[in-house]
Amino acid sequence: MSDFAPFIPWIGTVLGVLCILGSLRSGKRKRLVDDTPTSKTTGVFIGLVEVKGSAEAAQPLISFLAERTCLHYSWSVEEHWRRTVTETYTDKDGRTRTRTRVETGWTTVANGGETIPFYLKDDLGAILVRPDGAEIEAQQIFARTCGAGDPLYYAKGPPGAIMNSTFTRRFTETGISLHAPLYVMGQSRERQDVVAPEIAQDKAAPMFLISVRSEEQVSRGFAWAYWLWGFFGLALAIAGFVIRDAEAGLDPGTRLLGYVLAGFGFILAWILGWVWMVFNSLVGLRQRVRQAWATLDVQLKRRHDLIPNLVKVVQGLRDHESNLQTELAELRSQADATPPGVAGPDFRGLARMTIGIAERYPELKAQESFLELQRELVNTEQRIALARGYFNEIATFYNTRLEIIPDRFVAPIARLRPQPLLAATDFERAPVEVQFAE
Amino acid sequence: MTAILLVLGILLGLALLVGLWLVGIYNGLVRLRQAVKNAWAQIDVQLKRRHDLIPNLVNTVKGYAAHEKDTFERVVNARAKATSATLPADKIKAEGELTAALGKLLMVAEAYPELKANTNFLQLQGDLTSTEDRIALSRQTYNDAVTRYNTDIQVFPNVVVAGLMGFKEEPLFETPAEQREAPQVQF
Repeated sequence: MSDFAPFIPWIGTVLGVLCILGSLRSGKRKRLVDDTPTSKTTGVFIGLVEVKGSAEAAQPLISFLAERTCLHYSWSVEEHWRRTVTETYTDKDGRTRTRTRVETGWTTVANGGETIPFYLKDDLGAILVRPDGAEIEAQQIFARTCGAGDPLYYAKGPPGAIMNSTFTRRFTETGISLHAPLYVMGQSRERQDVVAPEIAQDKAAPMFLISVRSEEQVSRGFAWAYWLWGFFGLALAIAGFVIRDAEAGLDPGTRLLGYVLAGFGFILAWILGWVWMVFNSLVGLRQRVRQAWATLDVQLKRRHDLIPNLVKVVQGLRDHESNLQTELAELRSQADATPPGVAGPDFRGLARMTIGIAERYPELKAQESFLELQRELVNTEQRIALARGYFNEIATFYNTRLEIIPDRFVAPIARLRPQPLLAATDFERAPVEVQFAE
Repeated sequence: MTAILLVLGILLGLALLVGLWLVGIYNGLVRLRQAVKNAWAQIDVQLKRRHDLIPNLVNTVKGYAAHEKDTFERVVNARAKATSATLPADKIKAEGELTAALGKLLMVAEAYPELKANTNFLQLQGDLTSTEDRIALSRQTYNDAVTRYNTDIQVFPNVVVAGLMGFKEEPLFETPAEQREAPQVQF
């Protein structure tokens, strides 16, 4: 038995535990994707948000290989090599023999890429996204393998060749094209330049993902990763014991019970890990439901503080303008009251000036202020509606989690209660009667 | 003997690692709690800005509106004086005043349309809105800091450290019930 043998099961177990952790991480991310409602760009609040839209930029990049307008590209050039290795070895009869072996592979000879901040645009507006530090799942926009005779070989690749080169190169590029539909999940924060939020990297945030895939595809990807990591870990853990027994010369067939026990131990650890992950996820979800309620409160307070003051400004302007109109009317009547041909100052000439002034102060200048007030009323109510909608969606995700199997068995550990949704009161459901007459 | 020492050594090492890990959790919670306090202070910064800025903005707009009204009044008064003056000397003087006043008004109307007071009123509306937007964003940042902190003191295993070291939940921003209703817009 080699010196390593007693350690192999330990190594297998440690690797298995690492696989459990990887599987749980995918499980946590799948839950985040599933249980975070999609925000509209104008409804983005400061926190972990999920937004969907098309990628836009005023000055997009041109990708290196495909030469496509894009906001992100990443390219690489790999060169193929082949070498023949001659080695000596001792065979089972003790004789020294030589054999030759052919090794091949690809080596990256050049790579690069660029990413710029962009706007994610949906039907209501756009929000700035700073992709530095994000996981970017891009589209493949260029893939070609060619030989040295092809003009691409040296046009977009480095001169010269690597050792043992077969003069075959593989050019690949992934990127995010302009106007590409994107799925973004990340932390939003206040911008430094304007009074608006932006999505950017936050080390403490659980996720920052920019993907060309849809939400369903991303979620399914995490589900696959969860199960694959788990079963891979199971295989590693059991393999540790199998290899140890094989090294010790024992027939694995006789030790099946031991392997089954090891397998059960692994699955038990996986289940405990799952309970831990679900507990933390549900606790986090409850906090985010409360955060959604508080976001609604912030918008309501904004409305309460802003609208009355905007109304007062419009009233002030209206009063001011009506004063001016009085003065102007006075001016006009004075100009009309001077009979022509009377000696003295040329009131006709001055009257022209006066009427010119009157024309530049038309009556409806206050309309701009009224329009601004109307716009802000609509904007304010829409922010409130978006916040209410978001709260209802996330509360529904939360309530659903408390009922479905198997999450409902973990919920009591955290003492979680269902959250009532927001509904319109009866009088608010009735159609609104618009009245202009007093 | 060496076996016992080895086992003791490994146990000590493990205890040290666990201790460092717990200290790491504690420090993380402390940082999150400080971030909550900081975010609360940032709201106050925006509220103070609103408190100091808006009254002055309003007074500026009022002042400019009064100035504009004043300019108009001068024209009207100068015109009335020109009409009622009988002596030629008075008439010439009055006409001069009128031309000067009219000229001032024309200059405002033609050459500097943005000097009209209604522009100031529009600008004031924009400033009010952006001030409230800043306050809203700072409140949202506070809510997010609180959410992160409250989540971190409740997840396992931090909940143990939080309970032992006395970390309590922080409150989210709340609007009083009477301020949640829609204000009436009436002219």
